[in-house]
Amino acid sequence: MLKVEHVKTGYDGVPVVHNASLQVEQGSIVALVGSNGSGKTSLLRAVTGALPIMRGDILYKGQSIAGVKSFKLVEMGISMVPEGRHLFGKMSVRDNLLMGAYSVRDKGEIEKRLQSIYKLLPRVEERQRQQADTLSGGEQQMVAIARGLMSKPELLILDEPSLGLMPKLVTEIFEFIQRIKDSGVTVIIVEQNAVATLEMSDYAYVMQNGETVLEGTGQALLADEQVKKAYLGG
Amino acid sequence: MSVFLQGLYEGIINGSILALIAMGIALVWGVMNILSFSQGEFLMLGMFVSYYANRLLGLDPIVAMPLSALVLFVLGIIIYKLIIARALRGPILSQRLITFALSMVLVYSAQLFFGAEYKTLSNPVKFSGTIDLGFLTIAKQKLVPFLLALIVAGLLFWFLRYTRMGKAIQATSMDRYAAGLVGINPDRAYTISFALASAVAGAAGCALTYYYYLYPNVGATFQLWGFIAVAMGGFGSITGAFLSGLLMGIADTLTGLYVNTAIKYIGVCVVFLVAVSFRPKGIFGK
Amino acid sequence: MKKFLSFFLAVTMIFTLAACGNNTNSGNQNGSAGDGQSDGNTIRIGVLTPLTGSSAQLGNQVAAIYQMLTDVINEEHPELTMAMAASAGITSMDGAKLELVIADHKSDATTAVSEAKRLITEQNVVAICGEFTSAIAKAVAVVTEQYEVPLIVSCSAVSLTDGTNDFQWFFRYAITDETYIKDTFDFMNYLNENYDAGIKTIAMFSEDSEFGANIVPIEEKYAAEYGYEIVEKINYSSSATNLTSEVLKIKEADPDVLLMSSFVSDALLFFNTCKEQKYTPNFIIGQRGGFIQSDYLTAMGDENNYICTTGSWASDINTDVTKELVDLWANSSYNTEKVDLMDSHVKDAMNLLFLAMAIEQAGTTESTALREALLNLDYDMDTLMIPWNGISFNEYGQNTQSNGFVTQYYDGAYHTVFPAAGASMEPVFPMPEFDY
Repeated sequence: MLKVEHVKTGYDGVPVVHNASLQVEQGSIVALVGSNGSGKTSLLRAVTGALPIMRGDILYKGQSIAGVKSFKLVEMGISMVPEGRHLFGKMSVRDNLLMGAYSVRDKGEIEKRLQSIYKLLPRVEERQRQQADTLSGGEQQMVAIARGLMSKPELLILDEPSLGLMPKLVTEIFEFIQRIKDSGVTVIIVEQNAVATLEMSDYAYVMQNGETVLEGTGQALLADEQVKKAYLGG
Repeated sequence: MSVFLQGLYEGIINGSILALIAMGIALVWGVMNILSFSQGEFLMLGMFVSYYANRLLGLDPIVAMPLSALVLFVLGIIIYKLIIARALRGPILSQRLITFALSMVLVYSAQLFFGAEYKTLSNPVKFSGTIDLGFLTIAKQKLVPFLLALIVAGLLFWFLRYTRMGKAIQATSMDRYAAGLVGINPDRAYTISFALASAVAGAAGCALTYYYYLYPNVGATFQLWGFIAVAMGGFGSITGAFLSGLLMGIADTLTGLYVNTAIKYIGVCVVFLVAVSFRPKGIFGK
Repeated sequence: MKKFLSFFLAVTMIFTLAACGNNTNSGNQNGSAGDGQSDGNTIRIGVLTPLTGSSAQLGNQVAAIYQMLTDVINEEHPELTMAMAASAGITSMDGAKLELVIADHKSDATTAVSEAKRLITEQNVVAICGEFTSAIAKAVAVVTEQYEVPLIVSCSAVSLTDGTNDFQWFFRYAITDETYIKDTFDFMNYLNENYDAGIKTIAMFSEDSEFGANIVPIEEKYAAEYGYEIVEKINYSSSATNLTSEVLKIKEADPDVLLMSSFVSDALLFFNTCKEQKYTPNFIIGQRGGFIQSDYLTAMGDENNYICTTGSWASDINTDVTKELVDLWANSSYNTEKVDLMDSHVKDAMNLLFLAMAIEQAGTTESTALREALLNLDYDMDTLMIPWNGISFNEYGQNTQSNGFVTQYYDGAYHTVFPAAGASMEPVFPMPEFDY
């Protein structure tokens, strides 16, 4: 579904990612792990059109999406939930979700999606009139993911969904991601929390110094000595 | 008593023009964090549209108003695409100062194309005359800026709160990056905001020609008071800008009437200082 | 398309800037680009005038008249009676030609000061004249004192020559406000005595810069002396966004005569606001300023009828040399806007003429000699287009022999109404109501 081929990208002409390649199959969860500053987030930003591609190519359903602006990717079925949530703080939860369906014009359809989100996350429904920046961290993360789902994406990209959350909430978030995958959405997830992520993923890539250095099924990487040493604290 | 009422009424009318300028500045600042130094010049261009519509076609400013708003809206789009959008990619200082440079270009261009002399509408204006209520003399033409300010404030409120584009603009102002991720074209939201602000100034310029003279530098003074209204209302707050504009008009006229005309602007500044010392971020600042 | 538009915008910008630059340099067209007076063939004269900014129209007109007058002086015009016209250039200096270096002071004192310095130190001008407000003249005088270069102005603030500054290089042939305001009050007495006007109360409406602020105490002095009651006194800023409270106060006071010291824009705003408030002042006497500028008159049209102003020149002055000047200007190629010659133009133009006469009489541009010549100018009133008693300076550089009169606007022009000896029209008192 998504193919990243030898991509080089960075900020203001200074490359951060030198050579990254990965492949995502439809219906799977693919994890991208690696230490801080290894280039995971930059790679995701390049995929979603926020950073320029200096070399290489990105193919989505066989079509190049290198340099396509992020707002156009939404209509193509790609949705990203950025690190730090980036909710519209002064808007209500409900309005945040509605903004997630900005590319949809059919009001009935929007309402239908909203209801299905509420069914999935009753707590978000309870809070729908509340201003987004008054929610707790976990709730905000839920809303951020829910907003990402409102465009009914085929590919959902999650950047550090568990960052700064209490362990109990992390489990909740991961269960939610699993359910999203089960509903047929392809998921790319970037996480510091490597063990839980690898356990959940069908396939995973390890990034180091701006390059994808290792790949394999989640289970295989979990067993890999090198990975254990470097990222799993073993 | 009737002098007081007249003064209060005229103060609101005079404040309406400031409110209109200020709402445009507040919109641009609120959405894209740019100080729109060229708002006064858009007002000036609106006045020239009104002037030429009157001189060449014999139109009343109120009839020329939609035309002027449209002309300035289109000009706003062109200026945004050609200049502002590019400056936004540059360092923060050039973002902040680009509209300043723009205002100078507009003033000098106006001088070149329209001449530097003072002008007033040359053909008779139909929507004029006074209504004498005994306790209040209402000049019909001066109702125009007030009604316009009310309508613009209402329309902006409605547009930003209840329309798809308006919500997209709000979302972009809160988080440009996230707006892109949900499928909003942030550049489009910026363009529309900038063009809307300039259209408001264009309409305000028409209303102003009913009683004010025009010349290429006319925007500067209104611009200055507009900025003060924005600071007093709370940067980015359109409601705040609207109310502060009116309040400043009232302070201006009543100080002139009851204290001394020579210090009427001190009266306005005192109101401003009192407002910001109690609420440093402005009356509606967050 | 985007590329094309940016290109178009860039071209417009360059065009705009180039046009402004052109204006500033246009004075150089009729001379070689030599360095000042030293080559003996050209004498550089600095002209400071507002080419841009709020008084740009008057400033450009004055620059145009200066250029016309320079051509008259530099070429041979035996058919003209005007001083300096008959022979070409400065005869005492081998027919040296005048060359104007025109600079834009933008009606801004800071700009005026730096431009004056530039004219003196880089352009080597021998003297400076032009179009000044009193505030600008005061700022520039400091520079010309420092460099010992004559400055000749026709703005009217008394404070410039009342000894408070002790300027040595400052010259004013034109009248001060003292004279204009005495004329104003004499005129009111004249109206009372001859036209049964019954004027008892006056109100003052004065802008608050050097011009208006200096007039206020003089008006107060004469009001006390002549026994008129001041019922309202308004000081206001000429860049005001509104004059509503000002007009409401005047309307409340409703004086028999309103004395106005206003510029163009504020006068226009004042009358518009009066009409909104359904108020026509009983009678208005302006103190020149905006009242004698062409954009004011164009904007007011017939609504200016019966408004009076003081002045020192009017086109109805019945002398040959005045008619000559009016004709010259009417047919001049420099008069691109085809405006009528007015008081403010002529007062400024006279300064250039006086300067040329002084150079001719000094036979040199050396500054001390030039100063002496300016102070002791040899003149023939029949060759000057201004109806003064004569020229003689007091110790502060003020001509004590100039005089003024009062004019009233009717049917497209100001007509002299006072003093009676030079009057071309009977005064109309009070003014009819505005058309609301």
